[in-house]
Amino acid sequence: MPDARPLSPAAATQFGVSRRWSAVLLAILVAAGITLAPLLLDTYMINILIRAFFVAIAAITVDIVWGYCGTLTFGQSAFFGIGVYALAIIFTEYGFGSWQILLALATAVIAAAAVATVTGWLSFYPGSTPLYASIVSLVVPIVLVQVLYSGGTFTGSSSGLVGFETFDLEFENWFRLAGLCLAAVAVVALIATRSDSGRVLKALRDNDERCTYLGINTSRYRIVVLVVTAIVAALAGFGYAAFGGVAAPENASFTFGTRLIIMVALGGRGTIIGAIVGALSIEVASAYLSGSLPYVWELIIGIALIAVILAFPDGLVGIVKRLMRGVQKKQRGPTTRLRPVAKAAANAEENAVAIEVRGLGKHFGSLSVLDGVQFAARRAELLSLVGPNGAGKTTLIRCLSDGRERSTGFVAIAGHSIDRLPPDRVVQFGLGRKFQAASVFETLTVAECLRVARTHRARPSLITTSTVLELPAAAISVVERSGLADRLGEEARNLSHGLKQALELAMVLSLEPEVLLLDEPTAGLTRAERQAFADILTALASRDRLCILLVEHDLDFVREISSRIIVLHQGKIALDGSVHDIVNSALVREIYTGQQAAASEAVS
Amino acid sequence: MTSALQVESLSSGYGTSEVITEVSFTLAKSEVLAVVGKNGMGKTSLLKTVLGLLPAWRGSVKFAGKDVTHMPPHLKRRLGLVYVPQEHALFQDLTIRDNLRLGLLSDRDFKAALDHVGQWFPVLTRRLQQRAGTLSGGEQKMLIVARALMARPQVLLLDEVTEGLQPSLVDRLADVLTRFSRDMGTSMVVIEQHLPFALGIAGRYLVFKRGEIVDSGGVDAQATERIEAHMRI
Amino acid sequence: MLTVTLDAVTTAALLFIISSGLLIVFGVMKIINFAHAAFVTVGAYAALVGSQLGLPWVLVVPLAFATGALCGALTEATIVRRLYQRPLDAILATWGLGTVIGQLITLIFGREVQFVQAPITGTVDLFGIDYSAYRIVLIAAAVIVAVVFTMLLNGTRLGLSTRAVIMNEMLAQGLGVDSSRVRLITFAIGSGLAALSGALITPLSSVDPNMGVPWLVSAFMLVMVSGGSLLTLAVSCILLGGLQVIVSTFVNPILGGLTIAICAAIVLRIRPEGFARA
Repeated sequence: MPDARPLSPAAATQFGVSRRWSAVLLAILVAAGITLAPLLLDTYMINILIRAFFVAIAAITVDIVWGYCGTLTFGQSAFFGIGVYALAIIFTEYGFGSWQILLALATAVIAAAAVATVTGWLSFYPGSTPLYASIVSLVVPIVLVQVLYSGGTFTGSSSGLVGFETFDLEFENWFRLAGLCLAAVAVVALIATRSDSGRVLKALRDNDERCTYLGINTSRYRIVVLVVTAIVAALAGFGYAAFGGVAAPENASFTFGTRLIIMVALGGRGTIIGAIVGALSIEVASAYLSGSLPYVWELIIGIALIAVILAFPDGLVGIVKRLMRGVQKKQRGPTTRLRPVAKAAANAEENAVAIEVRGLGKHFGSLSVLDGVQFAARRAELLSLVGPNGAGKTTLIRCLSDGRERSTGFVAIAGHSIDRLPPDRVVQFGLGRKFQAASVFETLTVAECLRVARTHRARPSLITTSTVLELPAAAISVVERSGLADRLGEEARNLSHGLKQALELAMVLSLEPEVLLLDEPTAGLTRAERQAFADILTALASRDRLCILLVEHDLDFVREISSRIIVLHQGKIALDGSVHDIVNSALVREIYTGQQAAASEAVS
Repeated sequence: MTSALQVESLSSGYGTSEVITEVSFTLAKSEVLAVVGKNGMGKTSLLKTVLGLLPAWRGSVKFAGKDVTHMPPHLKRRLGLVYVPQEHALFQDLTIRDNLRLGLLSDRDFKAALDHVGQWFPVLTRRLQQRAGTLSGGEQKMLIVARALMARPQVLLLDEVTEGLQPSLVDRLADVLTRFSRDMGTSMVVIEQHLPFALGIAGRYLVFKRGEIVDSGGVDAQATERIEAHMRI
Repeated sequence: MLTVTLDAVTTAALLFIISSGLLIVFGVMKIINFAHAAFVTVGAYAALVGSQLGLPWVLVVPLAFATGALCGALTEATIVRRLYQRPLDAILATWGLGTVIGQLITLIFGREVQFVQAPITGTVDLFGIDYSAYRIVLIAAAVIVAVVFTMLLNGTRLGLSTRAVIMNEMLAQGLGVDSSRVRLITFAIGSGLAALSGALITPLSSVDPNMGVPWLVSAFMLVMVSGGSLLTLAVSCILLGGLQVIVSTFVNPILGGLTIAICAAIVLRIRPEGFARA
């Protein structure tokens, strides 16, 4: 790796090795503990814990969907219930045996996956809100329970199914089996959420729109996650019923779904460990307390939930982490090295038309925001879009990057018509859009943000966390010039406004776009930052031959860097020409009357 | 006599970056002050800090002698400090009448205020039941200004009211504001790109650059020249 | 057939009263109040207590509204206000509150199902069939709620402030509107309406600590599909409520109970703006 730029290789290896060994050691200890624990516990406790282990697996799936992906779901209980009933119905109908076990397993997996796919399709689509997805997730268990109620003897209706023959295992062995299953699920979940793919999930939670504009089909990601977690939850339900020998509608109810959320909230969302802690402690506590204090116990749980949300949104694990942080302070994750990505095959024509717009219009009812907009821009052009507020500049940017925005007209990016395609597809034609307010992933580190931006070029690993970050040269140059290179391990929310803007630009450049759309990139920047920005943009146009379309208020900045200017006025293109022609035109003087016209005279 | 508005060593910013540094000025009763300077120099942030939409880091804002630095915006508004923002300042889906009603704190004085303000904006009073969103851009600006005047504010903060306005309307607006400040004793802070307009109604000016006042003075025959000298650099 | 039509209209009326409170809270705060079901239950128990005390029905209904409004105001001031920046946490907290209220009611009144006598009994002769007089009263109640609501929103200063906050909260604040007061009052009115509908349901069904829950999902979906206006909410209630009655009558009551949720989800999937005009 001659090009690799190690920031501190010694620290990186030491860190990685010691961490890996301690993780393996911990896993061995946990496994040993689970194997030996039944010898120390009484039967009642073992019985409770076996159920609690299966419930904790379901809680982990809630944590992934809610804590990591940001969808508050009441519906994981439905998938758990599907697993419970798949086993109960098949064992009741066909008896117990090896092919019945396989059939029950297959049914659980297929039914859960199918229901999850439909639920996902209903919940996640461009324009759906997290609130709406949450309500749909509440509908799923309610529908399922109603179906179970109306299933007659097949589902056992409201009394459920009991008395079917099931696995004959010692209590102690059930404990070991369930405990090891939980440990295995937890390890897989921890590895997956910390892997490069896991970062994408957090990115979805932090900023869905930015993900879309990085070419990620966020709806599909969310559906896939839902299907996978649904299958895991169904298998947990399968185990639960196999041990208990009972299937009850409560196993699928939204009440149980809510209970799972409470477990995750109390334990600490987005940590996996928190889900386990929450599930085990609530299951054990309710086994002891719900008998003696039936309604008071529910009351306590409700009050505890409200208190945790108001005062400790990070839950128990969050509190512990906060206490620990006082003791030791460390940078998150292993150190990352930057490496330029191998240049893709020479791009087609150097001066090809990159944006083509014909007869574009945008109307709200009778109000016309854009009308008959028509222009084309080639590669290596730096085209500025100016005009007063409300002229439709930002709307035009939206219409170029999202096929569903415009009312009429034709738009092509790098020769591909964007048709009615959503932004993630348009991005794949070679478009990059930087928003006006810096749009990054607040809780991800700088390196993670950049890696997420590479998702559709370099498929992220499900298992490992890569220490090398391959970026295109243009992105690396922004990272290095802005000083981000020294802060790769820092969370984006701690960056200054100017650095966030630079990070977002680097993320967009990581897409290797042919067309770059920028909406007022210099707003709120210091003078030095603006100058740096101007240099970067000019270099991108001349050296990397990007076609850059820039919305900008500051006419001085525009004059300094543009190769061409379009003036938008009242939704129409008023002027389109060279910098000199436009700046000295009567219309621009009228729009930017007073000092700016005077200033331009001073220059020319 | 206490001044209408007194700003002392005011600083503020976003996140960790300071955009307003140690700004001080006073505004006398019925005085009009023009704040000029290029875009992105913190002029709008100054108004937002004075109003409280952006919390002040240091310094103070006194309104009619009373310290209001940390008072929430809607309470300042009740005292008579009215802000006319640059963007999204109208309720497009409400009628012109409802938009004007929101200029007052109660409906009690609506009739009288409408008669008073309406005389300068006949185009609005003729179409009270129409939705504000159906007005043209210039008419919308007029509505925003009219709404601000409804409450007969003590101090009016105007952010780029002439942007995108035809020259004839700019002159009308200058006329209305001058008369209002003279007749009602309203003091105004006018942020402007449009120098002739700003200097036409103001008695004094401040030049703003990167969050600081770099020059100030009375509006006289040489004012334009002095200001433009700052803009070029 | 006529009975089915009347059932459809009265069901729509009840759904409208329940979801209108949810709608106004959603409009102003952009959150769904998951404690709405608990407030429905609170209203039902308020009606139960009121009628056991021998209060006349014309006092019982306002009593229920006032109880709900008080609970709502307390909820807003102590819980929801702190979670404006975290909408999903806000709905989770209101959900937690819902369980707390449900358990408190259970502790005070017990689990058993109770009944409230209808204020108007018997039937009226309508288009040649005998129909429950009380259900006809519900239609009138829904119309009154709709009219009062529209008058409040369009005819009063508070209504103007509320509409301004719904459309653009920042701007409204800049104009001197005290938006936290608007939120408090809105939440109180929304919760009061939930309780009011709870009181109105009692003569039709039994009273028990979880009675609000079955209505909740339908009300959520109606609010989502209505796209935010009172008029489209009424339309959604009539269309989907009517469909619910038809399915319950001719197919199967359990499927009928799910009709609204399933149809609304499919409508929203195909047309994300729901029944709102584009």
